[in-house]
This record gives sequence, C-alpha cells and structure tokens, in this order.
Amino acid sequence: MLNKVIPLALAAGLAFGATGALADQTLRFATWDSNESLEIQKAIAAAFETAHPGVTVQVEAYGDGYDTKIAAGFGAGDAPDVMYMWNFPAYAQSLLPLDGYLAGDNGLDMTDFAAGLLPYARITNADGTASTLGIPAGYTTFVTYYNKDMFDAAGLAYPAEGWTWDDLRAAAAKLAKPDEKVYGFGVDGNPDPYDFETYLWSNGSSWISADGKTTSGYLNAPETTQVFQMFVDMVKGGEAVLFGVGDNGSYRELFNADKLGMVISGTWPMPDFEAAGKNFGVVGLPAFAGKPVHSNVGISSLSIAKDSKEPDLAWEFVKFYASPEAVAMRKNDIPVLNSVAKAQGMDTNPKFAPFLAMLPPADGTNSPAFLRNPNWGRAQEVVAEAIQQIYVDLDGIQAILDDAALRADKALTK
Amino acid sequence: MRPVAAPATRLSSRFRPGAATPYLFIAPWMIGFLAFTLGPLLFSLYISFFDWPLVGEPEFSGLKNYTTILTDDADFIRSLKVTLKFAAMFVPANLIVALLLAMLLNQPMFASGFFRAAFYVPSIISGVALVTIWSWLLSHEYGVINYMLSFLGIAQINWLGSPNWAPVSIVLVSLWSVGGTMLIFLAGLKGISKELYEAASLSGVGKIGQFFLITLPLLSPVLLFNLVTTVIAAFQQLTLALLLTKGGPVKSTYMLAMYIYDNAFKYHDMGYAAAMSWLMLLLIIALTVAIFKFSSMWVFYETEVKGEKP
Repeated sequence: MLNKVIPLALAAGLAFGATGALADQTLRFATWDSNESLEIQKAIAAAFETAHPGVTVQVEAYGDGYDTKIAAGFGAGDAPDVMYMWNFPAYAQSLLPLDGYLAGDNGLDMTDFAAGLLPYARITNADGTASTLGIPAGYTTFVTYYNKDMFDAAGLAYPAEGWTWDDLRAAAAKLAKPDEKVYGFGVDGNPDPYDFETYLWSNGSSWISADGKTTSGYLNAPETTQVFQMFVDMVKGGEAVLFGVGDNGSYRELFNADKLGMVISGTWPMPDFEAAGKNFGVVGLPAFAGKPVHSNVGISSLSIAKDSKEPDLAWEFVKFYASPEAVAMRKNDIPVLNSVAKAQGMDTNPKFAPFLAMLPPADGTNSPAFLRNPNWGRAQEVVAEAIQQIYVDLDGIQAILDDAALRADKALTK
Repeated sequence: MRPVAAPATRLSSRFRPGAATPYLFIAPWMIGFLAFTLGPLLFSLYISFFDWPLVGEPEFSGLKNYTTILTDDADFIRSLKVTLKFAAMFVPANLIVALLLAMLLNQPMFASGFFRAAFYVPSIISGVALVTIWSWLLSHEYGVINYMLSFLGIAQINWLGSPNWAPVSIVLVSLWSVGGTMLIFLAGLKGISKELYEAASLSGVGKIGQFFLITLPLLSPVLLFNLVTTVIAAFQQLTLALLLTKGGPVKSTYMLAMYIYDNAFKYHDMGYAAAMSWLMLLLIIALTVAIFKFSSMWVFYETEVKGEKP
C-alpha cells in the first residue's frame, strides 16, 4: 500500500507545483457534529475555501446517523472525500493510509500534537506493518466536575489533583441526602464501554487482552469486578445516583439543580454548566489507591476515503484542519496542538488544565479494545448489556461478568 | 353500451394504438415498485448467500448464513422470543382497543366527525416525536404517568428502566397509533345493517348478545384483515424499540427487526442481515397462512352459513 501511495503523492506534488491553484473543485467533508460544533466546521471549511480559490467544500452533517451513512457511502462507492473518523479498524479497508503524505517534510509539525493522540489513529495491518489512517482534529479526556456551591454548603474542601476514589466516596457520602434526592456522585447506568474502560485501566485491568484474542481473565478479572462493586456499593449506600437507565432525566439537570455533587465526563457538559451559571470546578480523575490514573480519550480524527478522486486536495484540507489557525477555531473540545492549547492558556486555566493532565502516555499503552480486535463491535454489545445487567440487579457481578466474557469471546470470532 | 362495435373492438384490442396508455399511467408506480421494492427484495435474497461486508469483497458462502442463524446464534433466538412476547401482548391489545374505540365512534352522537378525526390524529404523528413525548411521560422520577399513579397510591414504576416493564411500555406506546386499525373496524361496523339489530332487540336479545351474535360474526372478515396486518406490524416493530429503549434495558426490548438492523448497519454484515430478514419473512408468511387456515372456523362472509351443508 505504502509503495503505491508515495509515488502518487510525489506525482501530486508535481501537479500542484505545475498548476498552482486548482480550478473549480468540490471536496465533500462529512462530520458527526451538530449545532454550534457544526458551525465551527463550516467556518473552518470556509476559511479553507478562502485560502484555496476555486475550491468548494461541501460540509455534510450526518449527525446521529453518522456510522450508518458513512458505511452506506463506502458500500455504494459514494463516500465523502474527507470524513470524521474514530473507528479505524472497522473502516480500514476504505481509508487512505496517510503514511505516504506524512513522510518527510509534510508541512505538519507532528511533535506539536498532544502526546498520546496519534496511536488512536494507527492500526496494525494483517502483515504486521502499521498504518496511520487519520489526523487528530479535536479531543477530550475524562475529568471530574464538582459543584463548588454544594461543597461549600457542606463545609468540604474542594477535591485536589492526586485524589483517590476513597476521597471521592468520603466527599460523596457527606454531600448526599438521599431523602431529598441529593447525591454526591452520579454513576452512569448505561455507559459506553469505551468510556468505561478508563476505570478498568486505572485499576490495572482492561476489557480485552493486549493481543486482542480474548476477554476471559480481563473482562471478568478481579480488578474489573472491584470497579463495578465500588460503583454498586455507592449506589446502594445512597452516595451516588444511577442515571442513564431508560430515563430522560440527565445528570446535567441534576448537577445544575444542585442535586449532584460530582460527575465524571468529557468536555461535553461544560457548555451546559456554563450556560446555567454553575459555580463548578474541574479536577482530574480519582485514583484507585496506589495505582496510576489512565483516562481514555474521546477523539475526532480526519480521514480520507481511499476512493477519493481528489486525494491531494483532501490531504491539503486535512492539513489545514490540523493547522494552528484551524485548531484554534474549535471551541467545543481541547486543541490537539500543544502550541494552541498553550496560546489559549489552557495549561494554566483550572477548568482546562485537568483535561491536559489526563492525556494518556504517548507510547500507546492501554490502547482501547476496538484497536485490539476488529470484531470488537459485537463483543462490545455483550459488554454493554452486562453493565446494564449489573446496574439493574446491583448484585451477582462476578457471575454476570463471567458469562459476558464467554459470550464476548464467542462474538470476537464471528 | 354499443353492442355493434363491441366484437370488433375485442378482436383488435391488443393491437390498438391506445392500449398502452393505462400502463403508461401506472408506470411511475411500477417503476418505483421494481426499482425500490422488488429489486432490492430480490437482491437481498441474492446477498443472503454471501458473506457480504459493506466494505470489502463479498464471498459466496452458500447456506452458511442461514445455518448459523438457526443453529448457532443465541441472540437471534433471544430477539425472536422478545418479538413473540411483544406480538402476544401487542396484537390482542391493539385489536381490542381499536374495536372498542370504533364501537364508541359508531354511536350516534354529537360531533362524531370531530371525535373520529381526534382519535385518528395520533396515528399521523411521526414516530420520533411520539417517542420523545412518551419518554417524558414515562420518566421514572419526573414522569406525568407516575405522578398520576401516585394519587392512586401506586408506587413509582420504572417504565423504561426495568427489564420487566420496558416491553409493556413499548406496547402501551405502540397503542398510540391504533387509529388506522380503528378506522377499518369503523368502516366494517358501518356496513352492518341496522335492521339486524332492530330485529334482535325485538326478539329480546340484549346488547351483549347482539355484540356476540351480530357484530362480531359480521365483522369477522374485517377482524381477519386487521389481525393479519397487526401481526405483521408486530414483527416489523423497530422504531419504538430503537428510539424509546434502544433495545434495553438488558436487551429486554431487543426485537428481531432491531437485531437485523444492527447486523446490517452496526456490524456491516449485510449477507447475514439479509438472510435473517428472509427468515423473518418466512416466519410471517407461515403465521399468515396459519391464521388464514384457522380463519375458516371463525370468519363469516355475508352469504355463508356455518355448520350447514349448502
């Protein structure tokens, strides 16, 4: 693949040099963003158009149906040229490996990208080689939000970096008044297993083995059970409220109504909390005693379709997207470039510094399950169901996980 | 009308220049049917014999998809059970509520046209809006329904969050669009002549007797039609489960149609999903045939007299 791309890239470079600006081209760009985030995408696309006269960028907002529409587009041979991407293994065959473009002086300062993001867009091919299939565009790690007013009213000190789950539970117990439906912490009863793996990693476990072959001994490891047992104990003891199980009442409303002291999430709820004028603080994730904290990353990358008729123009667009100018325009997540994060003062802003501190190490340890096995999608369904079962029953955790491990292993081979 | 011209017309009708005109008029529908219904239908049969990923090369696999589904797919069996359970609740509930509403509307009353429209209107609300409204109504902590029940001293029911209640909630919400079935019943009721009821009352038959001796037998062909369409609708139920409960909690509302959808659009296994759709079609056909066979026992057509040889 690589040897195919490099000459192509070279030829394209020549073509660019020869013709200068390309006339009247249309580039299709698909995103899952909506609302304000979509407006940001449109603004970046418009800036690219200004910089490249004659080029029209058609922004296609697929919203919630993103995966279905992208998959249908690939199936029909009618995929957009550039698209948001996270599930690289599932679409690997349809995406253009970018290694050819990335080789040598490509106009991108790869060292400026936040550490630990690039491994999320790299997959290992069947022949053992690795391919980079996307360039990060925006990300969020997971942090703890806490309601300062509730902490003040209870006379509690604010959580500090380096805190532990024991600290969190002690604070939650003091904040909670179950009779008044006031809770110290919110436990997501229907979490995305991808997000949830954060807790497993932080307790020394994972969903699946490093070689991606089995979930037995991982999904049902004692360290995994401990994590669930802790959350179940918190719910049973009235420290925490369970949300997300078949109900529209979201944790954001509870938090804004001063009925929820702490909750763990990415950047997503922050605009809501700000809009409600909440007096909130942000702190890193609590640690399991004596173990390093390891957050997963919610990351949007940009990929190019293998069938794109304008791969070089598409690459120009991707590069533009990763330029400091464009990265600075994204307001709804954390800048992927260290220089931009610094320029915006995020490394010292107490509401954003914890996001940066939670970044995973650059060596790609603890890569998420979907990068370890291309069939993870089906296994993840089994895991999601097991998590729901645990929070419905609030009991029998080990048996549920043992059964799930058997079924997940079967799903991996389908 | 013009007997003299008739024989000549009949002889040459096949070759008459205008003979194609009617086909031209139905052509838009025919083309649409061939391109968007029959075509994809047959194509799905074709791909059901392949290992057909959405991206990548399809590979012929014979009957493997079918045998895997039937012998080695616990999720298929489970989603089929969920579907059957849903149908067992949905079909009778839907028919009974529709018939009761139709009988109410069939009473001579003030502004009957208004009520007829009012009962039908919910059926034209889009599934998504419906789901949003109901998810608020059924909310565990803040829902109107639980609030109302609290006045009756009934403890909060976790409508959508409990694996036991979620299937019931789906049935409740699906009754919202009972209007179509109701209208068909109403048309059937209007077709029953008043004289029969007058004769029955003169003979001293009460209201309940009239229902079982006149209404139900004469309505039975309509009931058969509604039964068949409702059973099919039950098997194809997807929107509500997908949007209201997402198949949960713990897969308690994970119906067959949803599993097919996931196989196709989540796991991108088109051949497997197609094979499953065809199995579902076979199942629906088998059920329909069974209902028709069984129907000769209880469906009465106007000129027919049961239990006596003509």
